[in-house]
Amino acid sequence: MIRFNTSKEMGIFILSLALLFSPASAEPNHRIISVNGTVTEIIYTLKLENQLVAVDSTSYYPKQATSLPNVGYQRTLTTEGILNFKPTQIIGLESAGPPATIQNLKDAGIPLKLFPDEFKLETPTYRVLEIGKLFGKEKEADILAKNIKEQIQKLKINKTNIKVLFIYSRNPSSVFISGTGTAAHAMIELSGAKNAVNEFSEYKPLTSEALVKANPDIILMPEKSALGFGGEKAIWEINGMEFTRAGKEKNLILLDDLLLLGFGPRLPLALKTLNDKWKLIE
Amino acid sequence: MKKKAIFILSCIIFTILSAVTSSLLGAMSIRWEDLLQSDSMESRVFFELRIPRILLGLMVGGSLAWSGALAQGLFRNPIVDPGLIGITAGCSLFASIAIVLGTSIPFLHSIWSIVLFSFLGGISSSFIIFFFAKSKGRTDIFSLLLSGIAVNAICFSAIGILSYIANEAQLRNLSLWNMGSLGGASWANLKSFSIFFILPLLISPFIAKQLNVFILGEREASHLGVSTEFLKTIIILLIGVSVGACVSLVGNIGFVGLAVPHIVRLAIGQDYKYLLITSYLLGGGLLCFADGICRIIIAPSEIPVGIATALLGSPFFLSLIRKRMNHI
Repeated sequence: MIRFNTSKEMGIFILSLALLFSPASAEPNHRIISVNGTVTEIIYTLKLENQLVAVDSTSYYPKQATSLPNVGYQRTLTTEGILNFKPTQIIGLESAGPPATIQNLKDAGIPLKLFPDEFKLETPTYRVLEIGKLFGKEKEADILAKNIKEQIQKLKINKTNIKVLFIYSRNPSSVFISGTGTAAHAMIELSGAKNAVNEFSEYKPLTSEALVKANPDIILMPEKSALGFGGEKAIWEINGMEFTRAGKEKNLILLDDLLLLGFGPRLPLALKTLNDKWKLIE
Repeated sequence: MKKKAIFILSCIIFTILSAVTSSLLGAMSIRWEDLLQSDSMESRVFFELRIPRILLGLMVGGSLAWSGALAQGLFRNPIVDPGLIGITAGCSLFASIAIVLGTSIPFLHSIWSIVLFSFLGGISSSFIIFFFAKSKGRTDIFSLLLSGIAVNAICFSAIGILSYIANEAQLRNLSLWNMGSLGGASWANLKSFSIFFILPLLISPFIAKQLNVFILGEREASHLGVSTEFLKTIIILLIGVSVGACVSLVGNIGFVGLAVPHIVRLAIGQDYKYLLITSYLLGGGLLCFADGICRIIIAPSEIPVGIATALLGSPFFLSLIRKRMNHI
């Protein structure tokens, strides 16, 4: 004869009810499209990847993101290409475009969260907390933000007089250098070095004379950009490079594009990596 | 006559087929049953994005080709395109100002204001050119061409300066705009600009006869009772309004304005009674078809339609020229 343990069964029943109506089971199931690599990285860090339906071409970290459907480059998005995935939330940076597509998506009533293109120490924590808030992951976001903050506080950035020239190129015929007001400039300054070019803002075409005048101690380049440019050998063959300290001593740093310019959760790592390199050169 | 009728009929069929085919092409696969559910995403994409885009493609392509035919008649030169008289450059310059300096100019924050500002640029440049070409109450065609070249040079230099001071996002938008795209099509801008696209169709019959006389030569046309001054003024005004509306809405789309009227001329001859309307049909069909191809070739991204029109039309254009050479 089976004897029921009333109190035990009552306990199980109450537990079932509690689970049924618990907030965890009511977690909203979003269909997120991320149109920025850093945002994608944060989404993965917050374990929201199961709600991610598509990404843009700058979302290559973590590697799993590359297996998701791709909506193209963040600045040349198409309305139909995005609506095809029936997103409930699009998230990226304010530089996403073109403007007509962004307008069309707003008109279609799809919620858009576009972060400003900021390059501050607080940028990663702000983005993490906002994304956490957006998808009901406040607790996880809070832990991650605290962790990033602590890592930044622990950094011992030594100021140096190293002059760094950031070179950006899509192909050998168009070479740009970074002035002020860019992610590259912010990274150079925050990591304790000096931008070799302060006369202008944004990216401007590289000229031989400007290169000689700037006389950088070191050249900094994103990895993909260096690859497109033709590798290290091609960099030293730039006219005027042989007159600079960087050219004479072959001082070159290549760093992953997203790590270097993303201002995401790995910002402390990027700053530490750069600062260690500056110390070596100095 | 039979050859002419067959070609015109082919253009009508091609345009209809282009529109129908284009409605089936895109990143999103849409089935007919989806269209019956008015609240489905597929239905909204079809009616709110694709249909306005197809209509815009038909009207913009048609207007550009029609304007090209008019410009070729005005200069009595079959290798002239509407861009030669500076309207495209004026539109491009004002659009570039809006894209690069829009954040610091209070009334240039929205896309719609960029379109209107660009339209204003096109109209302004056509008036400037017209002003410089007019002397003693006469519009000199040669001066008109030279003024156009000068205005083009000034505008493109200014665009160069703007490109130089633009940041990366602005530069990207600038280059995209200059390659042309129908991606911004909506019922709202169709409603506002349709008049400038339909106007050519309505005016064509009234100027075709006079243009036929005008291409014999200005003096000859005057002797035959054509008011050449009025005709030149109305043509410049029509090209200005029509091309201005096209370029400001969709950016620069090359090839259509130059090659389509030329193709039509090679096929059915110089008679403007048929040339204008057939150019409109073929131009619309070509742009609509090219845009459909652009939407699927690297979906979900898109190729700028200006690239596709040149790619699709050039081989056909070359084969026609070859055929013509063989007849000489």
